[in-house]
Parts: sequence; C-alpha cells; structure tokens
Amino acid sequence: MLMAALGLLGAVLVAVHMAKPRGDRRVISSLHFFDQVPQSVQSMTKLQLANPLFSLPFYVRLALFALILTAFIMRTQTLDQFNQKSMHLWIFVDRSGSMGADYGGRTGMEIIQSTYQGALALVALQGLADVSVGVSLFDLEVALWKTEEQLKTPDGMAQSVLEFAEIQPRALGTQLSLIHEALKNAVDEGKITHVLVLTDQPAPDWLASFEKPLVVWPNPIKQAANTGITRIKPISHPLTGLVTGFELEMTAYGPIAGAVRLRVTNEQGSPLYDEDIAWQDNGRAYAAIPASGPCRLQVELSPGGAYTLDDFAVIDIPQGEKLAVEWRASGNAETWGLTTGPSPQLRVTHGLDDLSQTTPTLVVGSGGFSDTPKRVENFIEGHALLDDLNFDVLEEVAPRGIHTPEGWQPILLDEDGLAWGAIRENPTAAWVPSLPTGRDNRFATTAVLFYNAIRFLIERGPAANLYEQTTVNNPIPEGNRIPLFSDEGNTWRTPRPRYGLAELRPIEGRPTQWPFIWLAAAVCIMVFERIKSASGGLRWR
Amino acid sequence: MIDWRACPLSPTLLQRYRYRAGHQSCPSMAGGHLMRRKGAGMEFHEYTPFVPGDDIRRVDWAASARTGEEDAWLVRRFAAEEQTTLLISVDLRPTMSLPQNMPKALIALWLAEALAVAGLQGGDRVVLHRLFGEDRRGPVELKTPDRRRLHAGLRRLNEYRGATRFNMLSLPAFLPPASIWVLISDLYFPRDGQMKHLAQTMCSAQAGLRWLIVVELDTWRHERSLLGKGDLRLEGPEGQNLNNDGPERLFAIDEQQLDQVEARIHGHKQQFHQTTAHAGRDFTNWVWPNDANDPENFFRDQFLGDKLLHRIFMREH
Repeated sequence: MLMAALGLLGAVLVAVHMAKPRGDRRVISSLHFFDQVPQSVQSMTKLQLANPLFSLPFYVRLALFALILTAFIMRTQTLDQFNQKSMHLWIFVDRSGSMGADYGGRTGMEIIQSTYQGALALVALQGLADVSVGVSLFDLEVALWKTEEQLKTPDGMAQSVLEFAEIQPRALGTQLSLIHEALKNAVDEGKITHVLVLTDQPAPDWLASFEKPLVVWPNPIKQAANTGITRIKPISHPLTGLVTGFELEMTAYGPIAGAVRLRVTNEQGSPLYDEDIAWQDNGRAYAAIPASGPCRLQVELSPGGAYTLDDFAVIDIPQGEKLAVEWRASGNAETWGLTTGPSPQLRVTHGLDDLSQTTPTLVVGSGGFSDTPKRVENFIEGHALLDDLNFDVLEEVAPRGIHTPEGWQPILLDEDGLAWGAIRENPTAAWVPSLPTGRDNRFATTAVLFYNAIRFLIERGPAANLYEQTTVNNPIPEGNRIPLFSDEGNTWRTPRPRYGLAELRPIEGRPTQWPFIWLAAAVCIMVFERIKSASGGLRWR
Repeated sequence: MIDWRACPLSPTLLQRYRYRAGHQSCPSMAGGHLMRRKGAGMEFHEYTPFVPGDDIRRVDWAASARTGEEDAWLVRRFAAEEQTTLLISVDLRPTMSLPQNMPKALIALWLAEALAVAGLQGGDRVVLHRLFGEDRRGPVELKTPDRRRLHAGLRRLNEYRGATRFNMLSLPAFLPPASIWVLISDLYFPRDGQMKHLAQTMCSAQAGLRWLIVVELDTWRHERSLLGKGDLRLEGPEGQNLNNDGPERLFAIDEQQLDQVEARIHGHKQQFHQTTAHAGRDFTNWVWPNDANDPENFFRDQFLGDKLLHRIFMREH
C-alpha cells in the first residue's frame, strides 16, 4: 500500500514536469489593448507527451522523492528484520583441560551440560518460525561439533543433549581470543543473532564491544581450590650448559586446606625429593631438584586440588657429562674437555662463513701473536666474552686480530682496529683469535677467551627440553608429554556472567536504524524547494 | 493607490528652476495662450536665502550683513509676476500604478508636486485635482508654499479607489480665466462618452483664455521591451486579466501581435487628440525608457528638460 502510494507520488512528479510551461507572467498597464490578441493554441492542453523537463527544480524534487522513498524502504526493511520471529544461535563449548576439574562434586563439563540442555529447551519452547542452532567446541582451537542442520529438529536437539555427555575435556589450555575472532566473524556475516558461551572462564571485558550478536556468557561454574605445577625450568651448568637438575614453580589457587607434598621419583620409584611445599605469601612455591641424566623423573603434588592435570609431570633429564660439540677445527674436541655426539650443542670451526642457523658456532682464528705489545683501544664493557680477562696481560700477549666482516660485531679492538673478539647475532656465533695455545700468559689469555666464547654461545643455544607440551594434534598426555598451560589450573576465578539464558529470545524493541537522517535531509530539501518556489516564480518549475 | 513618496527635486532646485524661467521670455509664443506679464510695480515680497542661479543684483547686502553670518546672503523677492491659477489634474486610475518598478502615478504625483512647489514659490494659486474617481472633498487648493499641506494634498489624491468616472463637476470653479490647466495621464482611459465630456470641458476652458497642457506618460515602449516574445500570462493592474477574472489566458506574443497592439494604442490616443483637437492645447510626451528602473533620475531628466513645462513659469515681454 505504502509502496503504491509512493509509486503514485513518483508518477505525479514526472507528470508535473511533463506539463507544458505555463508561460511567464507579465504585469502591464496596457493589458486592455491586448483583448484582440488570440489565445495561445498551446495553452489548450495542459500536458505534453515528451520527456520531463530536466530542470534544476525537477532534480531537486526527484532528490526529495528519492530520500523519502529511501527512508520508507529502510524503515520497512528494518521493521521486517526486527519483527520477524527468528533466532540464530551459536553455542561455543569449552572443552579445555580445566573443564574436567572437580567443582563441588561435578566436573565443569557436567555443569555446563545442564546449561546447554536448558538453552536448547528454551529455544525449542519459543516455537520460532525461523530458528537455527549450531555448536562448536573450543580450547586451543575451535571445532564444529553440531551443524545447524543437525539441530534443526527437536529430535536433533535431544540427541545432541545426549551426546553432550560424551564430550571429554582435552588436556589443553584455553584460548579465549578464538571466541573473539569467532564473534567478529559472526558480526561480519550478520546472520547469527545470539551467541552462548559455556565455559569456566569469566566473561571478558571485550564482550562489551559486541552489541550484535547478543553474547550470553552464563559462567555457571563456581570456584574450586587447586594447587598445581605451573612451570618447569631446567638448571644448566653455566659453562657447559649441561642440565644438572630442574626447578619447579607451583601455584596455589584459592585457600590451601592443608600440607601439599611434592614428591619426585625416578623410574624405579625411588624418591629423589619428598617434602611438604613451603608456600609463599603470593601463593607460589619453588623447588630446585638436582638430577643427572639421562633419566626420567616423575613429579607429583599431593593433594593436587580440583584440577588434576597439573598435579603430575614426567620429565626427562638429558645425558651430559661433557659438552657435545660438532668439531670442525684442527685438533680434536677431547683436547679441550669437549666431546662429539649426535646432538651437538655447539659447532667449532675456523671459517667465518661456516655458520649454522640452528646451532651456535664458535669460530677460532688461526692463532699467532704480535712481537710487540699492543694497546687495547676499545671494548664493550662487561661483555661475557671478556669475563676474567686481564687486559694488561692481553696487551702484552697481543694475539693476532682480524678486521671483522659484515654482520660481526667487535667486542675488543686493538690499537690498529683489529678485533681480538667478536660476535654475531643471526646466526649466533662468536670469534676468538685461536684455540688455547702457547704457554703461560699466552695460553691463559687464549683459554679465557675460548671458554668465555663457549659459555656465551651455550647460554644462547636452545634450552634443554625436559618435557613436551600437549598440542592440538597430540592432546593426550603420554610419556613426558604433559599439559602444562599457563593459568589453566586456575579454578579459583571469580565467576562473572554476562546475561542469562533468559536473554535467548528474539530481539524486540525499536529498530536500531531508523531513517531519521534520510527524512531530515528530505525536509531540508523540501524547505529549500519551497523557498525557491515562492521566490523564483515560474522560473522554478 | 501607489506607495507615494516625496518628489526627489528639492525646493531649492525648484526655486532655481522657477527663477531661471522667470528671467526668460518667449516672444515666439503663438496662439491665444496665456503668458505671464510683467507686473505694474516691483513690490517687495520677502527675503529668501541666496541660491545658485539667483540674480546677484537682487542680493540685499545690508540685510545680509545684519544676519552676522558670512555667506548668508539674502535675496529680495518681489511680487512682480501676475498671480495665476495652476490647476494640476492627475490621472490616478489603476493603469497609472504600473510599471511596477517605475509607476506612472509616482511620476505624475512628483510632477504635480514639482509644478506646485514652483508655482507656489512664485505666488501662484495651485489646485491639485484628481482626474478620475469621486472626490467629495473636492480639489486641493493651495496658496502658500507649505510643504506639509502640499504633501497632505498629494496623499489625498493618491487615495484613489477604483472608480473610473471623470471628476469634472467642481472643476469650473477652479479654472478662472487666464489660468493654466496641466493634465497628467497615460491617456489609457476608456473610449466612451466620458472622453467627450472631457473634451467639452477642455474646450470651454480654452474659451476662457486658459492654457491647457497635456502631459502624456507613455510606457508602451518599456512594456513592449518587458514583454518580449513567447507564451505569456498577461496581467493588468490590480491583478486584472482579460478573461473577466476567469482562468488566466495564455497569449502567444510575437512581433506582429505587438505591432498590432501598438497600433491600437496609437489609435486610441489619436481618438483623444481628435476629440480634443479643437480645444487647443499643448502636448508633451514623457516616454519611459526600455530599462526603466530609476524613477528619480528619469523624473529629474524629464522635468528639467521639458521646455513646454518650463514655459509655464516664463514671462511674456
């Protein structure tokens, strides 16, 4: 009806501008003498079959009409959009490790199962004409679980409730940024009207930035106390980099009911460490356990609290009496207390361009000394390469330096600008004048530089891996693969819900986008047109 | 009725105009027209401030010195001229209210005012008369140069309300012998018995040695330029149209039509001239320019350049 009226209005607009010009008006005193002038033949008809008069007034009125039309079309669409009984819900279910924690006798998954069931029942009860529900699982990834087609019918929904019990938490962490991404995608696609997130995590602050879709975050899981291992760090020999033990960081979330015992045993079950944990005021505790490899050790906290996946760890202490190197220099590694092996921690070579991207390289010069002492001209103060180095002796010994190639950074320069020590970052490498050589001061000086360089490089090499982290591809803890994820064991978060299940209903209320701006523009143009019409006379037609 | 405003010519300028005319004579005057004759005595009338154009010989130096002001020269005025009656009849029918940007009625009223001021300054008796429409209070008679009364009289004339009958009933009483009758009109008045009545009045006036001057205000050239060509809706004064106030007619205007209208106007005026030919009258024509939009300058140029009107204030040898 409305569109018909607007169509008629448009037709009238065109017809008005198909009307013949009515002639300019002239006011004259000699009108009386025009009584015998014939009337214009053209004035006998009002309209002419021709294109509308494409004048400025025509375009102004056309713009006015277009604005009104746009406003009403937008209004109609907006009302249609908001009046229709439809709801498109997407449910995200957290299946990270903490959802298997014990929250007062029920696991997190069991708690949100009833919420999931309630949500589906609520949607089904509303009898909406246009409804769809989809479910995804998330931890460190988002995976589709039930499509909209699978949950289209009440039977499908009921089936999904039954199958929900089969969803098992995975020994992985939680990455809420995935939900953020999914919500942004939902906004872009525009179809999803509601999102339900079932998790033990409190509603994050960034939810406030999402007005549509409506995000319901009931957060039905209460707090539960937990203690767990939160970090395992190897302890390495400062010179050789060999693992000589490990350090444990343990965290208590919530109140600590009683003594928590830390027990470390070897593969044979013999305890290496068995003591009560001394908690700090901040809820943290640390323990340094000496160990020599190769060996596999089991770490256990008892009692471990609500979340069990952080109560155990299996770690491997690697073998290492000597530093394993890949020897490419003259002589052999054993001369300098080193050994060669299949997993070298260091490469020793003579070539400045013989470097490796994965393994740090020590480049040793060809040796030789100056006949006369040379001054140290410049050096980087406090650099590890210069530890315990006596500069007076060094100036007297005066090893043969080099001009450092591009990419190398001199650490120590003699008075001729030649480097007595240099490093480079990528790939990681260090240069010293020679292997330990000569006698007395010469040997002492070259040995200090040589071992300083080894220590410097070992510290920059990859840390020893005592354990593996469970991943999306390998989520099951096995052997020394453990689920050690930061804060996953924090089951003592204050619940912070956002909306309840009652919000899962079609959005009602006023349209958010009312075409006021279009109508306001139309009014402005209409006022302009009327003013011009009043002042412009026949020329404004 | 138009939006009247006072004549743009100052009284001082009009005084100069009159005095210059008073110092001129026209020996070639033909016909039985009245001319001012020099009076028998040079009777002192009043002192007035000296204005450019005054005869320096008439400055009274002793009287000027007594004022105590430099450059405040006083000129002696004499009642030398013979007093006459100047009857000014102004046509204020609706057609005179056009053209809109320079109405004929405005120019006519300014002309009446200018003639009245000049006449009154010379001691003439001035009568302002509305040519058409009832005027129960009769013409406005003025004997002294009182601008307030003059303007009130002009406003009264301007209070015209539509009637198109000649207003001649009381006219003979204001036209004594040897008077001057100036008639200002566009001559667009209807052709009927009233034109004959006007002609009779003019003839009887002429018979009494009265001087008749017709000032025709001619706007046709301007209106023709205004019309242009093409389809036009024509409207007359006071919103009249040619369809008895019915729907507006659309006229196809071209040069041929305009020529025909011009011929009709010319014929109409010719009929007036023929009807009043035996009355004997002088005739002057003020023609509106094509781009008439500056009434002040138009009036100034027309009035000061009109030699016929200038003769009203000349003296016969």
